[in-house]
Amino acid sequence: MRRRNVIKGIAGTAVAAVPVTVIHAGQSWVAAHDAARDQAADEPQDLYTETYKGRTITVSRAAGTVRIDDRPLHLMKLGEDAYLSAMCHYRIEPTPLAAGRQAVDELRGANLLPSGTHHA
Amino acid sequence: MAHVRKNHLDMTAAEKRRFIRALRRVKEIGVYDELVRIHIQINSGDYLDKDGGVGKRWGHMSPGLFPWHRQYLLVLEKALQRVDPTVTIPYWDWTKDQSLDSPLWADTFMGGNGRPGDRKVMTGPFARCNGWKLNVSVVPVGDEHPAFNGNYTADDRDYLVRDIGTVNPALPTVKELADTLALTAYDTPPYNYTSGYGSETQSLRNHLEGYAKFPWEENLGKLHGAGHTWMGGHMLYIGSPNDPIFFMHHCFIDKLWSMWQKAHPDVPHYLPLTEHPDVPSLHTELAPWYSMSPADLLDHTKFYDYA
Repeated sequence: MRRRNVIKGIAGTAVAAVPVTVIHAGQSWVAAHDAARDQAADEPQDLYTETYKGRTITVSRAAGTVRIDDRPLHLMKLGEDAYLSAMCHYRIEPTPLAAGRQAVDELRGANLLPSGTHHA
Repeated sequence: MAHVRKNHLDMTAAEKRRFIRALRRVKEIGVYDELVRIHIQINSGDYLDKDGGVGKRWGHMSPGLFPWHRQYLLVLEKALQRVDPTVTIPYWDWTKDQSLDSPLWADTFMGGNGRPGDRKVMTGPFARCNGWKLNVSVVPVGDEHPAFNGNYTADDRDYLVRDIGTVNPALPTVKELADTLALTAYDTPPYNYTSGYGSETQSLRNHLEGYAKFPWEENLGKLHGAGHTWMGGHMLYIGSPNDPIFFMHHCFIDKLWSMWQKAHPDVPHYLPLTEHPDVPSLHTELAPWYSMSPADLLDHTKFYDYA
């Protein structure tokens, strides 16, 4: 929450570039961890729920899934600390929760649709 | 007649008009939306369940990036040419053509940025108010394309969204591109987004796709990735081909593969050469068409030239 708020608080300035991951080739994805990841890890139950910009984000830590207002976000895990979602498909996010917040930012009030077929 | 793909800056007004007209026509008959659906389907398959080793990464975070998108653009281009045989897909050189005052964003060509707030595109031929409606339904209209059974977007907006410069304020530079085109390896194991992260050689594919970077570079998500993130809106989403700028962006990526081949004639122009469980090899026919392999797609001059 903290990082996103900071970013959105200065939306429109060049600082919005900051979340583009600052990982160096050869370093671990752990370097990209942020407040979102720490928060999720602190949550003892499997389901973590928060309200972000008026939307309800629910993360299942065990399943690695994210729901926004109870609709599943199409989330793709690339590796540890590396996720893409249908709503942010060309920038890697470090956690499912970070991907969920990014998706809320991008939805701007719109609703997710069910995913189509997955495998070619 | 050999088809020639041009920089849009070198197109006449009539050529641009015909390109836009053909695009809107293939949208009307459903071919365009089928291509959007295919990209979503392949993208999803490319990334989902990779820990379980299900399927191959055909066109993303994979050496398949260049040949898969070459075939994908060819499918659109052939459809455009059934409408108008003179039409080819133009390219956008974002290293030099970075101004929002570029003719690229004219009301008669790609149209402009999204409006403040909901970022809905309000100008040009791909504005909702001018008839460019995103298909959010899984139900096809009519019986022309019974195979339609997927999603064309990830959310319920039926209008195109652009949010230029918010997620990423900068397009790639000439130097950034030149440094990547100087690399001599096409791709390296493990042939994914981490290629080049260990001691292995840096590769064209992962640097141009944008998931690897040089020590002197600031951000990941460069080059191909930066084109998507700079545009924002649908270009950032899984349904990125909903924005026709997708095809001009990838036409430039396609041209870059050809330029790189010409600059490095003595290295393999595609890897891996032999069968691989996770990615297409040189002779693997690419999903979902299963008609051409990377080997068939290596030489663009079989299909078109670049001016």
